[in-house]
Amino acid sequence: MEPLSAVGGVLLTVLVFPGLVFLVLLGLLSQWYRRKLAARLQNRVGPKYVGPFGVLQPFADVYKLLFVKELVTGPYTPARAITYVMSLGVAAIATSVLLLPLSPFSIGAEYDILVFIYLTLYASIAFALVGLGSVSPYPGLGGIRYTTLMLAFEPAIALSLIAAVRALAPRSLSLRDALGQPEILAPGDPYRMTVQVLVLITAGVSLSIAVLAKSMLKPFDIPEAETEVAGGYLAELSGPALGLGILLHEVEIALYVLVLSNLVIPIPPAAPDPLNILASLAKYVVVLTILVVVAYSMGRVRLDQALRLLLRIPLPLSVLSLALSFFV
Amino acid sequence: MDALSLAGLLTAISLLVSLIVWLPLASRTRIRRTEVYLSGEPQAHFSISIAEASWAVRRVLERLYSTLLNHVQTGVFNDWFALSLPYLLLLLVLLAVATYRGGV
Repeated sequence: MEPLSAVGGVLLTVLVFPGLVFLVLLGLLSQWYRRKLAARLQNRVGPKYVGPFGVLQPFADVYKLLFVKELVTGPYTPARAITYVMSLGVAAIATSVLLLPLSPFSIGAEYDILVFIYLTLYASIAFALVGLGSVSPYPGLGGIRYTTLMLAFEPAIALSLIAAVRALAPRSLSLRDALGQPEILAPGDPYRMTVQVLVLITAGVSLSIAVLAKSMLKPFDIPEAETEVAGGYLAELSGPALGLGILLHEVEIALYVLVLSNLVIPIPPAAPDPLNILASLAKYVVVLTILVVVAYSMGRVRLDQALRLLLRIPLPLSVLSLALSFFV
Repeated sequence: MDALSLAGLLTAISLLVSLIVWLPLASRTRIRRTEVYLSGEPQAHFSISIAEASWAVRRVLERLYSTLLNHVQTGVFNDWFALSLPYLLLLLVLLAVATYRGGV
């Protein structure tokens, strides 16, 4: 391949598909779906007025925040640095899709699952920095809450991802190989298949709970509750900073659900042709629906209860799945 | 390409993309500075100490916390750094075990 066309392809992948533009579209559409489904579960209507069935409501919200509203900030708060940190988080998430086999220009390497974990950490660090970097104590409390939960959900996410990739691509430990050419369902080897399925189930459950915590969805979403709004790391943000915060939150959820759904349902594999992309999106919708239904059927938990829950279920499950993955 | 080079390349691409996202937004953002609103209370009443920040960790991991407090810590901050080095090494060993593929 010509070097210039390769550079163009990589930029196209990162900026358009399946990168920035695609992830923003997917994230905001998922936000609408999540809000609509949650509203149905709670006997409400949900987004209704902007676009057919209110589907354009998240787009209108983010557009208004990014391009119309001004950024109101307190003294000593580095407003430009806050927007840059969140832009870097969005960019890191968009760049990490280069490791997914959804584009012909995807890049892979042995052990690239570690690179994926490293890149997606930027988003968590951005949220923690935004909360802890504010002068006001309210986002500070939100930042503390987030960093406390990070102690438990980040190791669980990392271990589950490594375990699932070990099960699907034991030779290369590459996320691209695990999603694009999974070594699964060997017909002559029922022992190996059973172990693989067990690893995927344990890693999938652990990853799902940890992703709910990372995304601050129920039951880990005290900042969403009206009376405790002071606890959110985005509490003092407005205008473009808040818009970027919402955008980062949505693209992060979209990326994790995309990876989670393609890891736990490895057939058909992810590939850059239209049918496989549609299959990947179908898996995405199934997993997102399950996550939303489970999440919105629960009540909120206190910070110490949330930490205890994360230390008791997803973390041991991720260690178990990693241990099982050695037998694949 | 090995994983380390890949991490470097993707970090560089991330920085480039972050500028593409941030620069057009930063150039048109209007910033207005106000006082911090703290429900009418003076700001001096609101501060978060490290002890308050770790309340959930202390409550959930009480035994670990009290062991660290009563038997491990010396009161010298630099000792925490010295203590952290073996744990970083342990983390690297665990990572190596987790990604072990067999063979030497």
